[in-house]
Amino acid sequence: MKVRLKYFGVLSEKMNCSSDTTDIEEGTLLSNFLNDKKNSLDVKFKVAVNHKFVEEKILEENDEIAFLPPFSGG
Amino acid sequence: MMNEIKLIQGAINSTHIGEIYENDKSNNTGAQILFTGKVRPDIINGKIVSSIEFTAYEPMVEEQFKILVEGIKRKFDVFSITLLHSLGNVPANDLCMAVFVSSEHREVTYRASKVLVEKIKSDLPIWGKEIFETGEHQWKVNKM
Repeated sequence: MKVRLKYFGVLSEKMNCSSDTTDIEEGTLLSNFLNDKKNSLDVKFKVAVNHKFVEEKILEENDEIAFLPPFSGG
Repeated sequence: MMNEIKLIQGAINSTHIGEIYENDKSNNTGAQILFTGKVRPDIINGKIVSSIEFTAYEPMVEEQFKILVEGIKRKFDVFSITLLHSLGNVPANDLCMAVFVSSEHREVTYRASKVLVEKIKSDLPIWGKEIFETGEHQWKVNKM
């Protein structure tokens, strides 16, 4: 199934894109998905799924997973 | 009472600020605080910041703002809260943020305003990219 990925700030620059999609197996846990991603993202970041911070969840079709480096508004 | 967030393309100007005051219609308001943040022309490693380019995760900014407002209202007896924040390029010395709080009395307004500004900076998914006069850039890191 497909999930959508969003990259912001310095991560959009490192990934050279701000949004992407990827195929994952049904029943994939967010933590397992992130463990694979962390190797390619060497920046501190938080994760939101469908605009909310979550610790853990079973990812679902079309979920939007956002990679959020430290905020620097204001 | 009205609580509002507006993301504005480019710098915040005096018309935007005027509208904040016009929208605060509470009859009991006795104190209003407006905090504004400017883009500083910092010199970093000999290079001058000429502007900051802001990006945001807009749907999440709005959701986080609602959570933040609920938290402030539980803690402080304030009437209205308004946040304006820039998106896109804002030149040095221009305004990029305005935070408005109104209440009945000044003490609670001071305290709520301080907490609110700090929470906006720490909790809203907004990023600034500092653009130097040389054309180079670096991602902004928030300090106190």
